[in-house]
Amino acid sequence: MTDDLHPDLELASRALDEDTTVDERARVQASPELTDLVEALRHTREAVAEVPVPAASGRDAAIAAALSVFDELHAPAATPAAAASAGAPGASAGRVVSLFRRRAGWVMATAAAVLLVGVLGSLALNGSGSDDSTSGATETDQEILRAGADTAAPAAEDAAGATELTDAAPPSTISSIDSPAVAGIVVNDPAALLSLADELAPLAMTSAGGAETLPMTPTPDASLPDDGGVGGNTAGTVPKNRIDCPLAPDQVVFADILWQDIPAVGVRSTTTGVVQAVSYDCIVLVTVGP
Amino acid sequence: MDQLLRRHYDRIHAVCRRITSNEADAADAAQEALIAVVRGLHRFDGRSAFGTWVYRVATNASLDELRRRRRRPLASVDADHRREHDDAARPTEPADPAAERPIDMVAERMATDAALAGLAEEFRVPVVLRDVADLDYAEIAEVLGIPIGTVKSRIARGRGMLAGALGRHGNRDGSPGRPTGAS
Repeated sequence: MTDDLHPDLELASRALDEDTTVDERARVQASPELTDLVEALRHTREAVAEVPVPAASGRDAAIAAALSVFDELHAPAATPAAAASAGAPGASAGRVVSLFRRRAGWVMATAAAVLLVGVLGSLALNGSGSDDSTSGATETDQEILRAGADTAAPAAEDAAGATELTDAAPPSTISSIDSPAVAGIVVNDPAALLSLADELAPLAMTSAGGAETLPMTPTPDASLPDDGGVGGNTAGTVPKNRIDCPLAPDQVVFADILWQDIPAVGVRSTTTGVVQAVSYDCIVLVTVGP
Repeated sequence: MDQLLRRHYDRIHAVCRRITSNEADAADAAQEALIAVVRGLHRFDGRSAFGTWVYRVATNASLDELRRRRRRPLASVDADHRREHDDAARPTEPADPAAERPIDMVAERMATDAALAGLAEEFRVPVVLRDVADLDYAEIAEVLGIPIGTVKSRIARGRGMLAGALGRHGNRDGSPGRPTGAS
Protein backbone atom coordinates (compact mmCIF):
# COMPACT_ATOMS: atom_id res chain seq x y z
CA MET A 1 0.00 0.00 0.00
CA THR A 2 2.81 2.37 0.78
CA ASP A 3 5.11 1.08 -1.92
CA ASP A 4 4.20 3.97 -4.21
CA LEU A 5 4.86 6.53 -1.52
CA HIS A 6 7.11 9.24 -2.82
CA PRO A 7 10.29 9.11 -0.79
CA ASP A 8 10.48 12.87 -0.51
CA LEU A 9 7.09 13.02 1.15
CA GLU A 10 8.11 10.69 3.92
CA LEU A 11 11.40 12.51 4.30
CA ALA A 12 9.57 15.83 4.55
CA SER A 13 7.12 14.37 7.04
CA ARG A 14 9.91 12.98 9.18
CA ALA A 15 11.74 16.30 8.91
CA LEU A 16 8.63 17.96 10.27
CA ASP A 17 8.77 15.57 13.20
CA GLU A 18 12.51 16.10 13.58
CA ASP A 19 13.12 12.43 12.91
CA THR A 20 15.88 12.74 10.37
CA THR A 21 19.55 11.97 10.30
CA VAL A 22 22.09 14.72 9.93
CA ASP A 23 22.49 13.88 6.25
CA GLU A 24 18.74 13.86 5.66
CA ARG A 25 18.33 17.16 7.44
CA ALA A 26 21.07 18.68 5.32
CA ARG A 27 19.39 17.34 2.21
CA VAL A 28 16.10 18.93 3.17
CA GLN A 29 17.72 22.25 3.97
CA ALA A 30 19.59 22.24 0.69
CA SER A 31 16.46 21.73 -1.36
CA PRO A 32 14.01 24.63 -1.66
CA GLU A 33 11.41 22.19 -2.95
CA LEU A 34 11.74 19.96 0.08
CA THR A 35 11.79 22.95 2.40
CA ASP A 36 8.57 24.19 0.85
CA LEU A 37 7.06 20.75 1.21
CA VAL A 38 7.98 20.63 4.90
CA GLU A 39 6.39 24.04 5.39
CA ALA A 40 3.25 22.93 3.60
CA LEU A 41 3.01 19.88 5.83
CA ARG A 42 3.60 22.11 8.83
CA HIS A 43 0.64 24.28 7.91
CA THR A 44 -1.44 21.17 7.41
CA ARG A 45 -0.39 19.86 10.79
CA GLU A 46 -1.35 23.15 12.41
CA ALA A 47 -4.77 23.00 10.81
CA VAL A 48 -5.29 19.45 12.04
CA ALA A 49 -4.06 20.30 15.52
CA GLU A 50 -6.39 23.26 15.85
CA VAL A 51 -9.34 21.46 17.34
CA PRO A 52 -12.41 23.31 18.56
CA VAL A 53 -12.42 23.54 22.34
CA PRO A 54 -15.11 21.30 23.81
CA ALA A 55 -17.99 22.98 25.56
CA ALA A 56 -17.58 23.03 29.32
CA SER A 57 -20.99 21.46 29.78
CA GLY A 58 -19.98 18.50 27.64
CA ARG A 59 -16.72 18.10 29.51
CA ASP A 60 -18.42 18.20 32.89
CA ALA A 61 -21.11 15.81 31.79
CA ALA A 62 -18.63 13.29 30.44
CA ILE A 63 -16.53 13.46 33.59
CA ALA A 64 -19.62 13.16 35.75
CA ALA A 65 -20.68 10.10 33.80
CA ALA A 66 -17.27 8.50 34.19
CA LEU A 67 -17.16 9.31 37.89
CA SER A 68 -20.59 7.80 38.30
CA VAL A 69 -19.41 4.61 36.67
CA PHE A 70 -16.29 4.65 38.81
CA ASP A 71 -18.38 5.14 41.92
CA GLU A 72 -20.78 2.43 40.91
CA LEU A 73 -17.96 0.03 40.14
CA HIS A 74 -16.12 0.55 43.36
CA ALA A 75 -18.59 1.63 46.02
CA PRO A 76 -20.75 -1.18 47.43
CA ALA A 77 -23.44 1.23 48.52
CA ALA A 78 -24.27 3.97 46.10
CA THR A 79 -23.77 7.48 47.40
CA PRO A 80 -26.54 10.00 46.91
CA ALA A 81 -24.46 11.64 44.18
CA ALA A 82 -23.94 8.37 42.41
CA ALA A 83 -27.60 7.54 42.62
CA ALA A 84 -28.50 10.92 41.22
CA SER A 85 -25.98 10.49 38.44
CA ALA A 86 -27.27 7.05 37.58
CA GLY A 87 -30.77 8.37 37.35
CA ALA A 88 -32.12 5.68 39.62
CA PRO A 89 -30.78 3.63 42.49
CA GLY A 90 -29.21 0.43 41.33
CA ALA A 91 -29.09 1.42 37.71
CA SER A 92 -26.56 -0.59 35.75
CA ALA A 93 -23.37 1.00 34.47
CA GLY A 94 -24.63 0.59 30.96
CA ARG A 95 -27.71 2.50 31.84
CA VAL A 96 -25.66 5.24 33.31
CA VAL A 97 -23.89 5.58 30.02
CA SER A 98 -27.08 5.79 28.06
CA LEU A 99 -28.55 8.31 30.42
CA PHE A 100 -25.60 10.57 29.92
CA ARG A 101 -25.83 10.60 26.18
CA ARG A 102 -26.34 13.92 24.55
CA ARG A 103 -30.08 13.42 24.30
CA ALA A 104 -30.39 13.73 28.07
CA GLY A 105 -28.52 16.94 28.61
CA TRP A 106 -30.45 17.98 31.67
CA VAL A 107 -29.43 14.80 33.45
CA MET A 108 -25.81 15.53 32.61
CA ALA A 109 -26.01 19.04 33.94
CA THR A 110 -27.67 17.96 37.17
CA ALA A 111 -25.20 15.16 37.83
CA ALA A 112 -22.26 17.37 36.97
CA ALA A 113 -23.48 20.03 39.34
CA VAL A 114 -23.94 17.55 42.19
CA LEU A 115 -20.49 16.06 41.71
CA LEU A 116 -18.80 19.38 41.20
CA VAL A 117 -20.29 20.70 44.42
CA GLY A 118 -18.92 17.65 46.17
CA VAL A 119 -15.47 17.95 44.67
CA LEU A 120 -15.24 21.69 45.20
CA GLY A 121 -16.51 21.35 48.73
CA SER A 122 -13.92 18.74 49.49
CA LEU A 123 -11.15 20.78 47.96
CA ALA A 124 -12.18 23.78 49.99
CA LEU A 125 -12.19 21.74 53.18
CA ASN A 126 -8.86 20.18 52.39
CA GLY A 127 -7.43 23.56 51.61
CA SER A 128 -8.44 24.80 55.03
CA GLY A 129 -6.58 21.94 56.65
CA SER A 130 -9.69 20.50 58.26
CA ASP A 131 -9.17 16.88 59.19
CA ASP A 132 -12.39 16.23 61.00
CA SER A 133 -14.98 17.30 58.52
CA THR A 134 -17.78 14.84 58.02
CA SER A 135 -19.77 16.74 55.46
CA GLY A 136 -21.51 14.80 52.76
CA ALA A 137 -19.53 16.52 50.06
CA THR A 138 -16.24 15.45 51.58
CA GLU A 139 -17.42 11.89 52.00
CA THR A 140 -18.45 11.72 48.39
CA ASP A 141 -15.10 12.99 47.19
CA GLN A 142 -13.16 10.65 49.42
CA GLU A 143 -15.24 7.72 48.32
CA ILE A 144 -14.28 8.53 44.76
CA LEU A 145 -10.63 8.84 45.68
CA ARG A 146 -10.50 5.74 47.80
CA ALA A 147 -12.71 3.52 45.72
CA GLY A 148 -9.86 2.68 43.38
CA ALA A 149 -8.30 0.61 46.12
CA ASP A 150 -11.14 -1.84 46.06
CA THR A 151 -9.78 -3.93 43.23
CA ALA A 152 -11.81 -6.90 44.37
CA ALA A 153 -15.04 -5.05 43.82
CA PRO A 154 -17.32 -5.40 40.90
CA ALA A 155 -15.89 -6.07 37.50
CA ALA A 156 -16.07 -9.71 36.66
CA GLU A 157 -12.72 -9.67 34.92
CA ASP A 158 -11.19 -8.35 38.12
CA ALA A 159 -12.22 -11.29 40.18
CA ALA A 160 -9.34 -13.63 39.39
CA GLY A 161 -6.61 -11.07 39.79
CA ALA A 162 -8.08 -9.62 42.92
CA THR A 163 -8.39 -13.05 44.46
CA GLU A 164 -4.80 -13.78 43.60
CA LEU A 165 -3.72 -10.62 45.31
CA THR A 166 -5.82 -11.36 48.35
CA ASP A 167 -4.74 -14.96 48.63
CA ALA A 168 -1.06 -14.40 48.11
CA ALA A 169 -0.57 -12.56 51.35
CA PRO A 170 -2.45 -10.00 53.34
CA PRO A 171 -1.64 -6.99 51.22
CA SER A 172 -0.05 -4.06 52.84
CA THR A 173 -1.89 -0.85 52.43
CA ILE A 174 -1.30 2.80 52.25
CA SER A 175 -3.71 3.57 54.99
CA SER A 176 -6.44 6.14 55.00
CA ILE A 177 -6.32 9.50 56.52
CA ASP A 178 -9.02 12.09 56.64
CA SER A 179 -7.37 14.82 54.67
CA PRO A 180 -5.61 13.91 51.46
CA ALA A 181 -4.08 17.33 51.13
CA VAL A 182 -1.64 17.65 48.30
CA ALA A 183 1.94 18.09 49.44
CA GLY A 184 4.44 16.16 47.42
CA ILE A 185 7.74 16.30 45.69
CA VAL A 186 7.31 17.33 42.08
CA VAL A 187 8.50 14.53 39.81
CA ASN A 188 7.88 14.66 36.10
CA ASP A 189 10.03 12.02 34.51
CA PRO A 190 10.99 8.40 35.22
CA ALA A 191 14.66 9.17 35.74
CA ALA A 192 13.83 11.71 38.42
CA LEU A 193 11.51 9.24 40.12
CA LEU A 194 14.22 6.61 40.16
CA SER A 195 16.71 9.10 41.47
CA LEU A 196 14.31 10.12 44.23
CA ALA A 197 13.79 6.48 45.14
CA ASP A 198 17.52 5.90 45.24
CA GLU A 199 17.86 8.89 47.52
CA LEU A 200 15.00 8.17 49.87
CA ALA A 201 14.73 4.42 49.71
CA PRO A 202 18.01 2.93 48.48
CA LEU A 203 17.79 -0.81 48.05
CA ALA A 204 20.57 -1.40 50.53
CA MET A 205 18.56 0.31 53.23
CA THR A 206 15.23 -1.33 52.60
CA SER A 207 14.31 -4.53 54.27
CA ALA A 208 13.37 -7.63 52.33
CA GLY A 209 10.58 -8.23 54.81
CA GLY A 210 8.58 -5.50 53.19
CA ALA A 211 5.28 -6.14 54.83
CA GLU A 212 6.68 -5.48 58.23
CA THR A 213 8.30 -2.26 57.16
CA LEU A 214 5.15 -0.70 55.85
CA PRO A 215 3.20 1.87 57.80
CA MET A 216 0.20 -0.21 58.69
CA THR A 217 -0.92 2.32 61.27
CA PRO A 218 0.06 5.64 59.89
CA THR A 219 0.72 8.73 61.85
CA PRO A 220 -1.23 11.53 60.24
CA ASP A 221 1.39 14.05 61.15
CA ALA A 222 4.31 11.99 59.94
CA SER A 223 6.57 14.14 57.85
CA LEU A 224 8.91 13.49 55.02
CA PRO A 225 12.48 13.47 56.20
CA ASP A 226 14.23 16.61 55.14
CA ASP A 227 17.67 15.11 55.11
CA GLY A 228 17.09 12.49 52.49
CA GLY A 229 17.38 9.80 55.08
CA VAL A 230 15.06 6.89 55.35
CA GLY A 231 13.12 7.64 58.43
CA GLY A 232 9.45 7.17 59.16
CA ASN A 233 8.81 3.51 58.75
CA THR A 234 11.60 1.08 59.27
CA ALA A 235 12.74 1.15 55.70
CA GLY A 236 11.59 4.10 53.66
CA THR A 237 10.03 7.40 54.39
CA VAL A 238 6.49 7.62 55.59
CA PRO A 239 4.31 9.69 53.32
CA LYS A 240 2.27 12.37 54.94
CA ASN A 241 -0.84 11.52 53.04
CA ARG A 242 -2.04 8.05 52.45
CA ILE A 243 -5.09 6.34 51.19
CA ASP A 244 -5.99 2.70 50.93
CA CYS A 245 -4.04 0.94 48.24
CA PRO A 246 -3.09 -2.71 48.11
CA LEU A 247 0.64 -3.22 47.97
CA ALA A 248 2.75 -6.30 47.48
CA PRO A 249 4.54 -7.42 50.62
CA ASP A 250 7.90 -6.32 49.24
CA GLN A 251 6.80 -2.79 48.37
CA VAL A 252 7.60 0.24 50.46
CA VAL A 253 6.28 3.74 50.12
CA PHE A 254 9.07 6.26 50.12
CA ALA A 255 7.53 9.65 49.39
CA ASP A 256 4.53 11.75 48.58
CA ILE A 257 5.01 13.06 45.10
CA LEU A 258 3.30 15.01 42.38
CA TRP A 259 3.75 12.90 39.30
CA GLN A 260 3.09 15.13 36.33
CA ASP A 261 0.72 17.18 38.50
CA ILE A 262 -1.09 14.13 39.83
CA PRO A 263 -0.87 13.59 43.60
CA ALA A 264 0.73 10.21 44.15
CA VAL A 265 3.12 8.23 46.28
CA GLY A 266 6.42 6.73 45.26
CA VAL A 267 6.59 2.99 45.85
CA ARG A 268 9.63 0.75 45.55
CA SER A 269 9.93 -3.01 45.49
CA THR A 270 12.59 -4.09 47.92
CA THR A 271 13.24 -7.25 45.93
CA THR A 272 13.36 -6.00 42.35
CA GLY A 273 14.06 -2.34 42.95
CA VAL A 274 11.27 -1.41 40.58
CA VAL A 275 9.86 2.02 41.38
CA GLN A 276 6.31 3.11 40.72
CA ALA A 277 4.28 6.27 41.06
CA VAL A 278 0.88 5.30 42.41
CA SER A 279 -1.92 7.84 42.47
CA TYR A 280 -4.13 8.28 45.52
CA ASP A 281 -6.79 6.28 43.77
CA CYS A 282 -4.32 3.47 43.29
CA ILE A 283 -3.52 3.91 39.64
CA VAL A 284 0.01 2.95 38.71
CA LEU A 285 1.02 6.04 36.79
CA VAL A 286 4.47 4.87 35.81
CA THR A 287 6.80 1.96 36.42
CA VAL A 288 10.55 2.44 36.35
CA GLY A 289 13.16 -0.27 36.44
CA PRO A 290 16.06 -0.14 38.85
CA MET B 1 -10.02 10.64 39.78
CA ASP B 2 -11.82 13.81 38.86
CA GLN B 3 -8.47 15.55 38.49
CA LEU B 4 -7.10 12.77 36.37
CA LEU B 5 -10.08 12.81 34.03
CA ARG B 6 -10.09 16.59 33.76
CA ARG B 7 -6.40 16.61 32.96
CA HIS B 8 -6.90 14.38 29.96
CA TYR B 9 -10.41 15.24 28.77
CA ASP B 10 -9.62 18.03 26.36
CA ARG B 11 -6.95 16.06 24.54
CA ILE B 12 -9.16 12.97 24.49
CA HIS B 13 -11.93 15.06 23.01
CA ALA B 14 -9.53 16.52 20.45
CA VAL B 15 -8.45 13.06 19.34
CA CYS B 16 -12.06 11.92 19.14
CA ARG B 17 -13.03 15.08 17.30
CA ARG B 18 -10.40 14.62 14.66
CA ILE B 19 -10.97 10.90 14.20
CA THR B 20 -14.75 11.18 13.99
CA SER B 21 -14.75 14.56 12.18
CA ASN B 22 -18.02 15.28 13.93
CA GLU B 23 -18.67 17.18 17.15
CA ALA B 24 -21.62 15.12 18.33
CA ASP B 25 -19.85 11.84 17.69
CA ALA B 26 -16.71 13.22 19.31
CA ALA B 27 -18.64 14.14 22.45
CA ASP B 28 -20.08 10.65 22.63
CA ALA B 29 -16.75 9.00 21.88
CA ALA B 30 -14.93 11.12 24.45
CA GLN B 31 -17.48 10.18 27.08
CA GLU B 32 -17.23 6.52 26.16
CA ALA B 33 -13.46 6.83 26.35
CA LEU B 34 -13.58 8.31 29.83
CA ILE B 35 -15.85 5.54 30.99
CA ALA B 36 -13.59 2.95 29.37
CA VAL B 37 -10.62 4.52 31.15
CA VAL B 38 -12.42 4.24 34.46
CA ARG B 39 -13.45 0.66 33.76
CA GLY B 40 -10.02 -0.35 32.54
CA LEU B 41 -7.82 1.38 35.10
CA HIS B 42 -7.04 -1.93 36.76
CA ARG B 43 -5.58 -3.16 33.49
CA PHE B 44 -3.19 -0.25 33.16
CA ASP B 45 0.13 -1.56 34.43
CA GLY B 46 2.25 1.55 34.09
CA ARG B 47 4.55 0.04 31.49
CA SER B 48 3.50 2.62 28.93
CA ALA B 49 2.80 6.25 29.58
CA PHE B 50 -0.65 6.85 31.00
CA GLY B 51 -1.36 9.29 28.19
CA THR B 52 -0.48 6.70 25.56
CA TRP B 53 -2.87 4.24 27.09
CA VAL B 54 -5.58 6.87 27.35
CA TYR B 55 -5.20 7.80 23.68
CA ARG B 56 -5.44 4.17 22.71
CA VAL B 57 -8.72 4.01 24.57
CA ALA B 58 -9.87 7.25 22.93
CA THR B 59 -8.90 5.96 19.50
CA ASN B 60 -10.85 2.75 20.00
CA ALA B 61 -13.84 4.68 21.30
CA SER B 62 -13.73 6.93 18.25
CA LEU B 63 -13.49 4.03 15.83
CA ASP B 64 -16.38 2.32 17.62
CA GLU B 65 -18.38 5.51 17.28
CA LEU B 66 -17.60 5.64 13.57
CA ARG B 67 -18.76 2.05 13.19
CA ARG B 68 -21.97 2.91 15.00
CA ARG B 69 -22.42 5.91 12.75
CA ARG B 70 -22.08 3.76 9.66
CA ARG B 71 -24.87 1.54 10.95
CA ARG B 72 -27.21 4.47 11.45
CA PRO B 73 -29.80 5.23 8.79
CA LEU B 74 -28.52 7.62 6.17
CA ALA B 75 -31.04 10.28 7.15
CA SER B 76 -29.57 10.32 10.62
CA VAL B 77 -26.07 10.79 9.25
CA ASP B 78 -27.28 13.62 7.08
CA ALA B 79 -28.94 15.19 10.08
CA ASP B 80 -25.69 14.91 12.01
CA HIS B 81 -23.81 16.63 9.23
CA ARG B 82 -26.37 19.38 9.02
CA ARG B 83 -26.19 19.88 12.76
CA GLU B 84 -22.41 19.87 12.59
CA HIS B 85 -22.37 22.54 9.95
CA ASP B 86 -24.98 24.52 11.83
CA ASP B 87 -22.86 24.29 14.95
CA ALA B 88 -19.77 25.42 13.09
CA ALA B 89 -21.50 28.46 11.71
CA ARG B 90 -23.43 29.38 14.83
CA PRO B 91 -21.86 32.36 16.61
CA THR B 92 -23.20 31.52 20.07
CA GLU B 93 -21.11 28.50 21.03
CA PRO B 94 -19.66 29.84 24.28
CA ALA B 95 -16.68 27.52 24.73
CA ASP B 96 -15.33 27.78 21.23
CA PRO B 97 -13.07 30.77 20.71
CA ALA B 98 -13.16 30.17 16.97
CA ALA B 99 -16.82 31.06 17.00
CA GLU B 100 -15.91 34.72 17.18
CA ARG B 101 -13.39 34.56 14.38
CA PRO B 102 -14.06 35.67 10.87
CA ILE B 103 -16.08 33.43 8.68
CA ASP B 104 -13.04 32.32 6.71
CA MET B 105 -11.64 30.74 9.85
CA VAL B 106 -14.82 28.75 10.22
CA ALA B 107 -14.60 27.82 6.58
CA GLU B 108 -11.02 26.69 7.01
CA ARG B 109 -12.01 24.54 9.94
CA MET B 110 -14.82 23.01 7.93
CA ALA B 111 -12.37 22.36 5.11
CA THR B 112 -10.02 20.64 7.53
CA ASP B 113 -12.92 18.56 8.85
CA ALA B 114 -13.88 17.59 5.33
CA ALA B 115 -10.32 16.75 4.38
CA LEU B 116 -9.90 14.58 7.44
CA ALA B 117 -13.25 12.92 6.88
CA GLY B 118 -12.16 12.09 3.36
CA LEU B 119 -9.01 10.42 4.57
CA ALA B 120 -9.07 6.68 5.06
CA GLU B 121 -8.97 5.61 8.70
CA GLU B 122 -5.61 3.91 8.29
CA PHE B 123 -4.06 7.27 7.47
CA ARG B 124 -6.31 9.54 9.52
CA VAL B 125 -5.77 7.83 12.85
CA PRO B 126 -1.96 7.90 12.88
CA VAL B 127 -1.96 11.52 11.69
CA VAL B 128 -4.32 12.47 14.50
CA LEU B 129 -2.31 10.58 17.09
CA ARG B 130 0.82 12.36 15.91
CA ASP B 131 -0.47 15.86 15.30
CA VAL B 132 -3.23 16.12 17.87
CA ALA B 133 -2.25 13.71 20.64
CA ASP B 134 1.44 14.47 20.08
CA LEU B 135 2.45 10.85 20.45
CA ASP B 136 5.78 9.83 19.00
CA TYR B 137 6.15 7.17 16.33
CA ALA B 138 6.87 4.40 18.80
CA GLU B 139 3.84 5.24 20.90
CA ILE B 140 1.61 5.35 17.84
CA ALA B 141 2.99 1.99 16.74
CA GLU B 142 2.14 0.64 20.17
CA VAL B 143 -1.36 2.07 20.13
CA LEU B 144 -2.15 0.81 16.65
CA GLY B 145 -0.19 -2.41 16.81
CA ILE B 146 1.72 -1.75 13.62
CA PRO B 147 5.45 -1.36 12.88
CA ILE B 148 7.08 2.03 13.31
CA GLY B 149 8.01 2.11 9.64
CA THR B 150 4.38 1.72 8.71
CA VAL B 151 3.47 4.49 11.12
CA LYS B 152 5.95 6.84 9.46
CA SER B 153 4.77 6.08 5.96
CA ARG B 154 1.08 6.33 6.87
CA ILE B 155 1.61 9.64 8.60
CA ALA B 156 3.57 10.95 5.63
CA ARG B 157 0.99 9.79 3.16
CA GLY B 158 -1.89 11.02 5.29
CA ARG B 159 -0.31 14.43 5.63
CA GLY B 160 0.35 14.53 1.93
CA MET B 161 -3.25 13.74 1.09
CA LEU B 162 -4.48 16.30 3.59
CA ALA B 163 -2.18 18.95 2.15
CA GLY B 164 -3.51 18.15 -1.29
CA ALA B 165 -7.11 18.32 -0.14
CA LEU B 166 -6.49 21.63 1.59
CA GLY B 167 -4.95 23.11 -1.52
CA ARG B 168 -1.42 23.08 -0.25
CA HIS B 169 1.34 20.81 -1.45
CA GLY B 170 0.62 17.25 -2.30
CA ASN B 171 -1.74 15.34 -4.44
CA ARG B 172 -4.64 13.22 -3.33
CA ASP B 173 -2.58 10.13 -3.85
CA GLY B 174 -0.05 11.27 -1.34
CA SER B 175 2.68 12.26 -3.75
CA PRO B 176 4.24 15.58 -2.93
CA GLY B 177 3.41 17.41 -6.14
CA ARG B 178 5.03 20.62 -7.22
CA PRO B 179 5.41 23.55 -4.91
CA THR B 180 2.68 26.09 -5.37
CA GLY B 181 3.81 28.70 -2.95
CA ALA B 182 0.50 28.39 -1.18
CA SER B 183 0.58 27.95 2.55
